[in-house]
Amino acid sequence: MLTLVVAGLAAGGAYAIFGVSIVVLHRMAGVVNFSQAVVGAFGAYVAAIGVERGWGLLWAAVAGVALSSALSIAIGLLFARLFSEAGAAVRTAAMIAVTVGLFAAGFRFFGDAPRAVPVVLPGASVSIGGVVVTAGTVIVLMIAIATALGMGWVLSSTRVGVQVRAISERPVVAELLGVPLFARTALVWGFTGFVSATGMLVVASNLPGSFSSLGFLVFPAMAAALIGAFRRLTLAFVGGIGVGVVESVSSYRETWSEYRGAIPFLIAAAVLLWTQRHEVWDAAR
Amino acid sequence: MRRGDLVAGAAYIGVAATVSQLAGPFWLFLLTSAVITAVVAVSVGVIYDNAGLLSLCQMTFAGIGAWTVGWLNLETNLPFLAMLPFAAVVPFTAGVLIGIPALRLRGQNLAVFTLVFSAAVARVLFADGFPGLIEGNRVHPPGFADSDSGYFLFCTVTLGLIAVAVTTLRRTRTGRWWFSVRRSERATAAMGRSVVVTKLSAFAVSAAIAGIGGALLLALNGIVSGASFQPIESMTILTSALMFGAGHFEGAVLAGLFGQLIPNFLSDVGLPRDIAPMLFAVGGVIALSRGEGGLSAALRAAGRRLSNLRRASRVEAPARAIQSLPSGHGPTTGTTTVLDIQKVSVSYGAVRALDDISLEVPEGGFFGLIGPNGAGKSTLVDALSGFLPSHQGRILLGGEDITALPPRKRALRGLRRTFQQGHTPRDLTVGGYLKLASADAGTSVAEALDWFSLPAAGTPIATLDVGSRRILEVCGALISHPRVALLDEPTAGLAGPDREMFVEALASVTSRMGVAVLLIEHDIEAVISLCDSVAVLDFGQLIAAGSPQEVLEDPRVVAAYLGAST
Repeated sequence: MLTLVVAGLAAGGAYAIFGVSIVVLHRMAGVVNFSQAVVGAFGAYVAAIGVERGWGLLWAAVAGVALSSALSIAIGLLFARLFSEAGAAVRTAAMIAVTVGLFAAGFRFFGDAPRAVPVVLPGASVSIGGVVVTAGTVIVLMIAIATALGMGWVLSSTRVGVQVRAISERPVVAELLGVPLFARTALVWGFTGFVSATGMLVVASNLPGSFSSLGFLVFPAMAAALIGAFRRLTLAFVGGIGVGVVESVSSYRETWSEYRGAIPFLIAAAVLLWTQRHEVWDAAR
Repeated sequence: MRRGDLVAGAAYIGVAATVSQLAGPFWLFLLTSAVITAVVAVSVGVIYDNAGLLSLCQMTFAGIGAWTVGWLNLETNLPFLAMLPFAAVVPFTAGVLIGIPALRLRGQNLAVFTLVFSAAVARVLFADGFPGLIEGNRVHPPGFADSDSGYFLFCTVTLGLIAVAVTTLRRTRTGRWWFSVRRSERATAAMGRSVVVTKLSAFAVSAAIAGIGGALLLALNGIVSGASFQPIESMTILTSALMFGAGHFEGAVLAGLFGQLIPNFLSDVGLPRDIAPMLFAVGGVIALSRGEGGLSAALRAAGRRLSNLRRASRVEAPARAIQSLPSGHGPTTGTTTVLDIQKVSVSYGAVRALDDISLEVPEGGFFGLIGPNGAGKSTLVDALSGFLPSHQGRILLGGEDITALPPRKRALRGLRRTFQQGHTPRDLTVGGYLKLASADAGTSVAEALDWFSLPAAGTPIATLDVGSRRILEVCGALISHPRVALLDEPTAGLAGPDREMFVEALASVTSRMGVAVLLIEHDIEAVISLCDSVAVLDFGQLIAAGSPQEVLEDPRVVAAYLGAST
């Protein structure tokens, strides 16, 4: 059982990275990024191709992460240009459209056959209480924790954090106050693209890696972000880990594991039933 | 049914019949797929364009419909037509069930929740294969339609019937409430309608429509796998529905046609088929950036502009002439208290937005509530109508404690309100809105239109100016003969003579009806002429109350308005 819990930490850490990134971007840019994982998948696949072509592991990884960051920045600038004054529903709908386009582009460029994403990390592992924890798991968890805590600090306590929150809520006012819109937008989107690609590179090597299945990591990540109500970074982190661990533990019994795929949904539904038990009204007075 | 509808219906059937005779098997298959995609697009139109809810599980509902029919086909000997209703009923039920945790979600949260749901169903239910898939147990269309052209016609007629049903539903109360909830959940609840029931009905109806689409797809192919019903397919159909504007029938048909024809066209010209979703993505983003409604709304707007050009002179909006009213007596205030506000306090963190407010609003007549911006007037209205998550103190309506009641129940007990921002749904007509507001009681729509000389019942709200929309909202609050109407700045947006006439009409209507009005107003003249008593708020405190003259001479009130330090 403990082995299963530890095994779940690796997947849970990945969900947490994407879930936390989604929450960060939502707070900073006011967009629910359905493409968080697929943008990372672009980077992981470019790195994989790079390794196949003999670029060397480091350069391939750098190229992949750079591509994901650039892609993310491009999406961010598109949104800043077209939808900065649009309502949340319109932005969400537009993000869905963009995600559909990215998946289609991914199929086109990479096909949907699984491809081995290079192992970026050393295969080292430590044994804690008889349970083997791989270095990959540790690093995934560290990235997730660092993102959650670091970005929580940036958002609440730094000037840049306040500026980007101002942009996400009132772009025109923020611009009138002299906040550099272009630079800040690029920074925020570039950063989440960077985190997604790094996280994807770390986790993709132990996953059955067809392009779409990497992109579909967004589903459990969305469950995690929903658990954090798109606001709370720590809750999103806990949610991601929780979903991963429960999924893993569910393979303990065969009857449970049949429903493994429904676990993100079940956890999200349970959390929502609880958090939404009081009536909440739409924003406009 | 209108004559234009009949002509359009006949033309639709005529085109379908002609196509079914002329097209070869390949094109018939393609077009039948297009018609089936259009059915699912109609379901997106209901949930997104009508009710304003973003659902990312429409293809999941289609899959549940197909799964149901596949299972029935395997287990029973029912003919296709007998199985088809189940393809609607089972997704309908699933829609209600999935709706329950999602009830209070909106916007992005609902989109995310439905996406996670569709991923779960795809992995748990669809991944193990559809019933009949392994056995090779094919589902056949009904005998009379068991040919390429026959099944194409069958699907076309089904799509047409669904479109007629949806159009009819949009004109019923249920459908009108969808538009209302899309515009504002608060306003919907303030008219006494459950937001939850409204959303749930839209969700369930759209699930049922999508389920029929799934069953039709199954009978077209004989057997299906889960591949057609993955979350990404739901996202794709939403994207093309956004691009073409599936809220209108022609938009749904275009979404279906292009969804099938563009990939085919691409491969004909030597391009890969699978870049089609990229085109939809670009189209969807462009459509969204130009405002909602997609291509079909743009086409309709262009059509309206054309027909307006053709008309030599446009119909002028009727001048707002309020019939002269028996003057000489203002509204009479009763002696009993109808709305008793006892020690209401509201805090946001350290800020006390309302501090221990007690007021007694008497039966009939006007009670003025004034104060500078930020004094807490609208917060008080929110507290009274039930929109604040929590406050202290008690509120009694006609002696009954309503403090714990949700907004809807307060509205049903005779407490109606209007909103400062104006929340009339632009997709409805004037008459349609008033019918919703009246709850089939109180005054008839025709009579209510006469009160304030509002435009004819058939006028779309979208064509009204801001002032008229505001008057319409006031009219909606009064039409059900409430005991108390809370009017939040009803004259904002009205100028000069319009304003005077409206104020006069308001006095006459409310006095005949005997409704008590709590009037929030910046127009002091209106307050003086209408109100028997006035209360003044400043920084959440009640600083004065009494007759308008007394209150306005109170030095604290003067200081509050002029900003002098006290």
